[in-house]
Amino acid sequence: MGLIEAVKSVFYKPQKMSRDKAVFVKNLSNKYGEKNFLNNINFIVYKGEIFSVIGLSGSGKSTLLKTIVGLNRKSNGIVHFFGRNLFFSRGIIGYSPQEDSFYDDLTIIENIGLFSELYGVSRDKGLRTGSDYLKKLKIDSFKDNYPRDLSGGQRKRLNIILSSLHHPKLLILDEPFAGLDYYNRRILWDFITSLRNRGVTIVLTTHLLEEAQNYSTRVLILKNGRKFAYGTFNTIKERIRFNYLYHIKFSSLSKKFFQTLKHFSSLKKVKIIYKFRNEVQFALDSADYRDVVNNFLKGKGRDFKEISLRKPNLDEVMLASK
Amino acid sequence: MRIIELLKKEYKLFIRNRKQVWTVVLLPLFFSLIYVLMFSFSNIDLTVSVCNLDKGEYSSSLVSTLSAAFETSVYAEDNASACFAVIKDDILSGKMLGIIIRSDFSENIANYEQPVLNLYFDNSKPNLGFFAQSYLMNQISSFNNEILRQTESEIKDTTYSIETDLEKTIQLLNLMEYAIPDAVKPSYDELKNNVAEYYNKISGLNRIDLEFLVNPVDTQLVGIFKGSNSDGFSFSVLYVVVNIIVILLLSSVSMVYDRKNKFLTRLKTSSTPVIYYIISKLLFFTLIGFVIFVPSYLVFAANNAYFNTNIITLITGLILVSGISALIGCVIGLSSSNESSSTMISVFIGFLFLLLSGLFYPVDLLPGLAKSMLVLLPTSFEINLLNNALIFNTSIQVLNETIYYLAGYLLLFFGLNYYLIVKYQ
Repeated sequence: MGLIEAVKSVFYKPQKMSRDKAVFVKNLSNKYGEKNFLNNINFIVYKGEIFSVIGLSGSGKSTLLKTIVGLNRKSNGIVHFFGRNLFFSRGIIGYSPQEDSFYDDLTIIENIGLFSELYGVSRDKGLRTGSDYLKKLKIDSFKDNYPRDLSGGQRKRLNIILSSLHHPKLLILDEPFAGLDYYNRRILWDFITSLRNRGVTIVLTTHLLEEAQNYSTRVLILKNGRKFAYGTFNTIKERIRFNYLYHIKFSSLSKKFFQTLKHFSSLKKVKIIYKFRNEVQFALDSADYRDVVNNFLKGKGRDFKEISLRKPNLDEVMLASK
Repeated sequence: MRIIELLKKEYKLFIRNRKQVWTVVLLPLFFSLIYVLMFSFSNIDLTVSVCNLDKGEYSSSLVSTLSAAFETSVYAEDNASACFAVIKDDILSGKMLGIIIRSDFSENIANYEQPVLNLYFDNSKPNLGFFAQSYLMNQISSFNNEILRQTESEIKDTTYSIETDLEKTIQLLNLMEYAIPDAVKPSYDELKNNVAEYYNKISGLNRIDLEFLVNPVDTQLVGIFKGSNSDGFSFSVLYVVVNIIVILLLSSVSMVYDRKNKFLTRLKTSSTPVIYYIISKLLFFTLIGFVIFVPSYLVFAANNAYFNTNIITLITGLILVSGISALIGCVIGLSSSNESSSTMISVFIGFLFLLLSGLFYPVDLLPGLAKSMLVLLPTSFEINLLNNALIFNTSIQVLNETIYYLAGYLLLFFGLNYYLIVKYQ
């Protein structure tokens, strides 16, 4: 970052309504050598939102969060929190890394005491908040144990508690649901929602499209370090353009017929996104298009078996949008 | 308060790792004890095997001297190869030295010829031969002195007899002087002069000290500082080395542990300045430096090392020495990928400092380039500061230059830690 940009970054004040903007990111890039990890990312997170950053593995989600909280150096761009530079916002941001970030050789209460002071809250106040959160996240019975006694899901919860002890106005969570089962995800979502209800703005990364859709106000989808889609889910759906995956298996599938099938899919609101041996997966705009596909195949006298018709996950969305 | 909380964290993590606690207590103790014992020659129990091929008076006397001084096994074989076989067996079974007394040992001494004593040792053990030989020669000096005294006595008896006979010859020649015909007078005078000259020389030889012949120039090593206090000086060197090894290991591993637990990520995204974190590390490992000091000091004090301490200078010295070690250790921890590599680098650097400390080899005798490179290391300044604090009772004002140099070193590594944490973690 050049000197002028550095000075601009310190003194830059976002335009009107800056107080409503919890996060303001403009032209953010992260470059190491010739490799661009983030390329001109722009987005705004408004106060009180749950904002999800989604994308495939390696799309730049964690890099984006690390860059905005200052763990990675930005090569270009501006980041502001509630109208202020990162330097002046440390005390109002909570960041929870993807990996467990606490000491297994300190008890849970000792970890809470340590991290309270680290985040600038008195030990007593931090312990009160911590005990409250431990109860909410159903791990208060372990408070005098060492974190090594906790399960994977409980450790994730502790990780988030330790980032929230100072009542941050903005909580940034990197992959809080990674590797968690439904029960643990539900507990976490409830906790996140309760924080949001108390006015905390949440920014998180996830690969769970459906849950992100259910809980988030708006999303940013990243692809190869670039902004792929941004806004509410309704806005994004138009960009994604398909809502169902239809998976079938042929008794036999010749190369010639597959070409015919490809020609058919280019004309209809149907897209072939996957083929392996005799199996083919179609992306459909709506469930009604299943009949269109079936009628076409029957009309051609093809013998096939339906395997599934379901909503796609994020990986499949990204695959289809190539 | 944040620094205190960070210090409490360091303490709890340290105290819950029993191995680290033992390292801090036992390593300085072992180092000090080994050092003190290593240089106390009077305590060495040398075990010796002797095979005597000579049945003479002198070899028997030597065997008696050896038996009185050491745990000695004596063999009387008929030939050298049989002797070598038993000696070798004994050495392989744990004897430190084997000695073969050749068959001409007593005869050589009787003829005033130097006999050779073959010393055998396990040369797979570095330095054993050198140290055992030095110690053996030191212990059998009474035997050597006895031979010297005996030889001296024999020479003096003989020269006395010659001197007496020459004196009588001179008196006889004087009586005969008037009866000598003129024709042989010149030869007579020459003979008389020669006899007088021999007499003078023999008289001189009679007064000669045989020690002079063995060792014409004697040297006496005298330290410029009052009293005999080599143990006190060694303490400073040993403490600096132990401090570097222990604190480098602990602080580098502690830094890797913090990184592994993503504590630096938390720190950098919190409102706590990175400087507080580095200060807490510095303070904690400085305290460890004080803890390391105690056992080493007690061992040396028990070994009669003389200390005349200036407390303020000592505290300043310990802070600087431990602080520098701690910050170097943190840099190692910040640049290592895991605990194993940080331990490996710490041990490597620790041993480098050990070899360059002068503990086992005087640094002044190193080649010029190596010696000048030592100025770049803080070790010699640290040793100098502690010597002044512990032995010379020097006040801190006198040591400004040394303290500024070490403080500069401390600041340099403080800055390096800050840079590495902010930029790379």
